[in-house]
Amino acid sequence: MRDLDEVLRGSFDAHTGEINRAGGVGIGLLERSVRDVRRKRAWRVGATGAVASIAALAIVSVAVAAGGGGGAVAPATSGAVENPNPPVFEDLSSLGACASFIPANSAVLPEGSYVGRAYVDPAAGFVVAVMPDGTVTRVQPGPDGDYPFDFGNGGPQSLMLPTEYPFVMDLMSNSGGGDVWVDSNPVGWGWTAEPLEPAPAGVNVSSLYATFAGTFGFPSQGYSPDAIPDGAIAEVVAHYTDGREVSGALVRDMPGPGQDELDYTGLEAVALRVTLADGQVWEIRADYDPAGIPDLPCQPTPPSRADAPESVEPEPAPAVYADPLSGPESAIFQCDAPLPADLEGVGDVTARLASGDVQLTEWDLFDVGDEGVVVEGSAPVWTVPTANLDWAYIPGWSSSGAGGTPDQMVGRVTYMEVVAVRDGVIVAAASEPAEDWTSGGAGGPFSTSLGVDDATSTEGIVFAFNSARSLLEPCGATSGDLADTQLVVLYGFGTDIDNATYGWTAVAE
Amino acid sequence: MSKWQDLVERLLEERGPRLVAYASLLVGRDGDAEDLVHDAIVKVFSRPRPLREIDEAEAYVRSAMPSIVIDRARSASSKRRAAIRSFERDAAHPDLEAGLDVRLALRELTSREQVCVVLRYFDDLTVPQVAARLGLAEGTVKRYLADARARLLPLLDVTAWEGDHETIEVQTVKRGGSHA
Repeated sequence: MRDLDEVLRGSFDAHTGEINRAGGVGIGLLERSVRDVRRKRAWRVGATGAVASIAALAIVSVAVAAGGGGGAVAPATSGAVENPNPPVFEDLSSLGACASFIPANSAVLPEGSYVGRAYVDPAAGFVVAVMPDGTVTRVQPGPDGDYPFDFGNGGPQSLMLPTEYPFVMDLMSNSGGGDVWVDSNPVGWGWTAEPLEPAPAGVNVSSLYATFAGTFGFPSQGYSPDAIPDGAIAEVVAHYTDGREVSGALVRDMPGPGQDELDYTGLEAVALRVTLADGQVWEIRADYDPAGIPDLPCQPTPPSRADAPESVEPEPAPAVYADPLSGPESAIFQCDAPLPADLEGVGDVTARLASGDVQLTEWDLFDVGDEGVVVEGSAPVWTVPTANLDWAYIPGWSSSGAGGTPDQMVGRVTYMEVVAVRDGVIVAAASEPAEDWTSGGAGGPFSTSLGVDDATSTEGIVFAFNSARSLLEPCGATSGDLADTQLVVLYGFGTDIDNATYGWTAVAE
Repeated sequence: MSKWQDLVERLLEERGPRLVAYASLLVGRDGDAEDLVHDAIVKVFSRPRPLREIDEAEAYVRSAMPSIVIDRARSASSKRRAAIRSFERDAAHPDLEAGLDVRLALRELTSREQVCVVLRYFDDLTVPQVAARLGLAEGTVKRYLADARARLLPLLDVTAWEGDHETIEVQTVKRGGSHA
């Protein structure tokens, strides 16, 4: 028997050694890290101004793409933001008039895995979702600036990535993620996959399919001999209309033949063929039709970057509340309405004004900018269905949970916002999305747990709002200058959004 | 090149394997570990800090990882962002074999248990130090460690330190929707 500490250290040492022998960490990790640090540092500048958040997202992206990062950010303007990056979405017009935005050919992707596709130009705030059947939807930004869209695969998901370049994203259900194409637009149309015969024992279909994908224009994985039984041979065979067959054995760690390696003249089909030791043959076969135009619904006016319609197809809209104080909390708090006096100081929540770097916890130093608001105290937790915690898209609301079982978690839903009050009346509230509340762009005010007290079913909480007053918008035209207003934190805690207990506390200066 | 960028490059070049290996103890697949290293670097270097030495930078980045894991476990939105970030990863690669049995065993634990085990048995922190570091009650940390040990010991054929077999006081707390 070994000691647990020795086992952990042995694993660490062995793992470190193997990573070193493999050449260290990939350059991709360095590039992503440097890019995102630079972006966050730039965001710290951009987030201190009273700007519309989606425009701010675009502006910051532009600044980074231009090699900025610490420079001043131009004020946001309404309307279109000029995109310095020309769109790189590949011209698909050869596939038909309706083919400006088309899905990938799911028939040549691993069976049942394809969810849909998005064409995204972050700098222009341009997002188009394409269902597998070709239905095209111009996606509008959600309150978090994340362009949520529901492909009917478990709820809305964000189609926006923090990049400076346009990209095409294919979402897959079996991996929980997908793939992003930056310099290409693989569609795989023109190929018609034959139904697969049941694979013999020892044949790893998904592994072979991943190797074969390059033939349809998709990036592919290197061939693994482990995908076939001992004694079997794997090869790619191209069939031509004149009866020719051109074959080549698959090579370990190498992909199958790509589109640029195939002679397309007279090409009829390509197969990945496995010949077993006893002579039995099994194939993944795809027929090729150079005029293979997808049978897709034709939109009357296919959306483009320049003149995309608001929404070509109605989408199942998530719960989006565009205006401040228009979500579930509006039952208690409204713009231009008095604060309920009986809710002052409900619970254990205090708020104070702060500025600059604030040490919120032992490990979290947070820049709250000018007139930041730090909220501390405790909040109740409950054992709640996990499913209840996975909603989103309501400004000011968040959910948290931990432990428990897959179906039940200890946590709660939380409402937390800052408003400005004059003479007991709410006169300004946060513009949305709440992304601007943070200097780090983390999607809402900074928040962290100070630990759950099991005995009292409460949890210590810290929230921090960045430059709170600058992000408030007057409720009405008569609200005027907010300089003489009192900042107030509204809050609510509950098992779900319909069962929250609300309160408010004035921000101490 | 800015000083922070130079330091990040040196950090990943010289200490990247150690950071990834450490992150792998805290999370699931090796690809997730690289995401954790990325997040920790971004967290540490996004704000000006007087970091000059690589040892100091490594210590900062390592110390940022456990709380990130805990935050991810707590926040549904963080999990969504982590899932989205997976789109930006380099091409998926299989887990490295070295020490994989231990990492696979650790993945049988919940996120909090996993973090507590690493801080306690790899970083040699005491239970009060783990509790303070993660913002948890000491009793909660003890419970996590006890549960984790119960699952790890048969999987890894190991024994825990002497003195680890503490009596855990279990409280039954009635919870319901009547709290306000």
